[in-house]
Amino acid sequence: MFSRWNWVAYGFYLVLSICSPDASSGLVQSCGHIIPESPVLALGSNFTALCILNESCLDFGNIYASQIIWKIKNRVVPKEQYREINRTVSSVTFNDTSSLATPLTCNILADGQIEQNIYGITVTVGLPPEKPKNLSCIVHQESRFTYAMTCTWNPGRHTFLDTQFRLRYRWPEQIFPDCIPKDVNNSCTIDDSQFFVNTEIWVEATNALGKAVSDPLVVDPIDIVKPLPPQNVSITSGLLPTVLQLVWENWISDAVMTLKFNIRYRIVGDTNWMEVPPEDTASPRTSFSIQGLRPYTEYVFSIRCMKEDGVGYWSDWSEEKTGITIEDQPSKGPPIWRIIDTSQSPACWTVHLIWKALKPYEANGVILQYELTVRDKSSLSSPVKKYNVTSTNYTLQLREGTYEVTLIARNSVGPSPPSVLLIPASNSKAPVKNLRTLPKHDKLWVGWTAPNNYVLKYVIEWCLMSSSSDCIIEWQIVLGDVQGIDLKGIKPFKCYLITVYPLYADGQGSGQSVKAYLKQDRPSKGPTVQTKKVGKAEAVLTWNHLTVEEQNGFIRNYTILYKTIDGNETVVTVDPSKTEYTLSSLTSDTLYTVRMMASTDNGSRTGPDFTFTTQKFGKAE
Amino acid sequence: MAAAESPSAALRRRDLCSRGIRLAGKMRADVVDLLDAYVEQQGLDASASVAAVEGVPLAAVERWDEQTGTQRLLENLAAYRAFRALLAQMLEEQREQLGEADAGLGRALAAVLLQVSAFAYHLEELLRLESRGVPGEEGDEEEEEEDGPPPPPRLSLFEQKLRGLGVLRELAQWAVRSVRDLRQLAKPSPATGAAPGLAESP
Repeated sequence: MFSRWNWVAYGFYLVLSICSPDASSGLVQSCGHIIPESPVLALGSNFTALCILNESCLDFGNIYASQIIWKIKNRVVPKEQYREINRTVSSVTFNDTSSLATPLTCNILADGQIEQNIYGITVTVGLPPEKPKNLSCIVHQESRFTYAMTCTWNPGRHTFLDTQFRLRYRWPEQIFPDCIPKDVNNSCTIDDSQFFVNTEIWVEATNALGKAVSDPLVVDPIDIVKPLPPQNVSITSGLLPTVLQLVWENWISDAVMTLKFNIRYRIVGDTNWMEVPPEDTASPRTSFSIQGLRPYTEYVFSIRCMKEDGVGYWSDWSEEKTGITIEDQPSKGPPIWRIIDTSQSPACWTVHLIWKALKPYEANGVILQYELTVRDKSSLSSPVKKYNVTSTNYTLQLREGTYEVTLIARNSVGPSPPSVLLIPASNSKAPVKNLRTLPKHDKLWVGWTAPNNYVLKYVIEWCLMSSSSDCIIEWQIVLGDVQGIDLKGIKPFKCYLITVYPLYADGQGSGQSVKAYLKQDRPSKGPTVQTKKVGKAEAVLTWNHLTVEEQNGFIRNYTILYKTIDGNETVVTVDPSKTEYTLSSLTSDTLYTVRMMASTDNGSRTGPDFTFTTQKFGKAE
Repeated sequence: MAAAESPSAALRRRDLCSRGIRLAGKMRADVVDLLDAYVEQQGLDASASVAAVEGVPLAAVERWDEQTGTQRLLENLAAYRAFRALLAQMLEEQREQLGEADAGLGRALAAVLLQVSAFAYHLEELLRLESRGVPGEEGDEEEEEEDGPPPPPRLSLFEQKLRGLGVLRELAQWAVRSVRDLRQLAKPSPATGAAPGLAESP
């Protein structure tokens, strides 16, 4: 059973809970209230709230303002900040609102030491808006007839409050509806803008603590237009092999503004753009002929525009379009050379004519065929033989003699200039002198001295030497004033045979050859030595030269190392041309071990050991 | 007496004239486009001849070269103020006829109306530059219900459409005339430093 005291406490509690703040219901009279209700405060300012008790509440016994306890979010506010104004009003002061949080409650300690909540308010702390800065606007052409103006600005520091931004604009005698940004606070787009009137634009930021206005921007929207790029770009070819014509549609009428253009172009596959000089496209037009292009080449074009007087913004580059220039005659004859095989009989030659396909910028089109003309110069009555070939080589059987071979490449427009090769009966003219090579990092330089001043061209042949296959010739022709070239694609550690021929107007010099390595290494194998004949005090050693694949360089010498089981090793150096050597002054009836080393400029390698035993008795013994 | 002009005033006049000329040019292009849409939308015959509509100022004028610059400005201003009222009325009629149905035509009309307002403002500024008072507008916001003439009788729907056609056609003509007038105004002055034709009208 509850005691009487408990009933009073219970009743008191019941009354107070009925009285607890429920501002929205309005049905129950609360015990007190706080002013101000739901304030919005500036950060760092000071703030005082009052809790005012209702007279009716005081009747419930011993409730005075002095018993009020203020709490922020259930943390008690220190009593130093309270002030009892009178019996029913208590105030709390905060010197710096940074220490405030929400909610702020006014509570009372009732008789039974029960803390009761009387009222609460939500406190919002924030900052007034900063003046919006850096307002800038641009008019985007969105379609053929619509232009939208987008303005952006710097909204300033975070306010911690709900801050509304509005973009406002007007003419001197006309005010327009505000532009309210959607989802952002730093830009707004006006759907339709009028041209040729100075428009004043500014931004206003408003929140519960104040309003800030940006500096106004005064601009005629026609001066801040970014147009759409020119549309329906098309390329026309077929006038000249070096010309292509660009045609497009402008989507801004002259009544709005006149345009100037930039045209850029590049070869398909290239990354570098070339530009038509802007002065040439600085006025209104809908087409342009680009000149100085390469024949039979595919180009990519793109164009952009802006207001002719340069006030405003360039449009984006238009969609890229490609076009191909028409073909032109080839500009050069293909370089031509020959390999003569006299193995069958010296009087009957098998002549392999070889030439190189023209590079695209020399071919100027698709080469349909090559036309060879072979003229026997030693027999004037002999008819000229003509051959049409689609490959880059041709083999003829010719009687020993002097021949003039002419080669042209033909495309759909016409023939190239002729390339002429003289095949003399013998290479009797002066050869080059002082043929030498020098490895240069990743290229092999070949140099020579000109025999005289009459050389027209030089032919350099090179081939990879191999023990298992033929030496496949690669070749290059250079002009007669050149006395050295770099050969590319030379592999290291491989032996190349290089031959240079001088070509004259009336003959050819004999070829001078040299072997060369780009880089040398030690041999990959050592020589395998064995004995050919062993005597009492001598032994004839024999070995095979290393194959060119095993050498990896020029063999400078061989070294023979031999010893007995307990003796010192004897070392003998042997000339690299030799394949035999006789060891002498050996001890009879002794086991010898011998091995051989081959050395290049870059190292040596030793072959397997070979053991032999000298004889006990000599021949005659 | 024409006062000598300060350099800044001359610059401002040149700027107003050049922008006014471009605005008039664009206005004309927009009105021509609007005419095509209007004729189609209203179901009119494009070649229908419309009698001079009451209240619509005529662009053609005799003895144009005898006018002073001020006279031209005043005539232009009166015309565009009249057009402003007429176009506003057309917009109202549009909304009554179609509700919000044809937003495109309504928007185009509103855009032309804005340009007409802007052009009227250019003219007022040019008049102010000459230290010439800008005449007040007649019977605009303050409706003189007791003193003024009785409001014109409501036109039938078809008459409204024809009237609209007449308004737009005449506005297109005015735009051409305004360009000529402003070009004349913008010409650099001969000896005195004052622009030609700015002498006070007699």
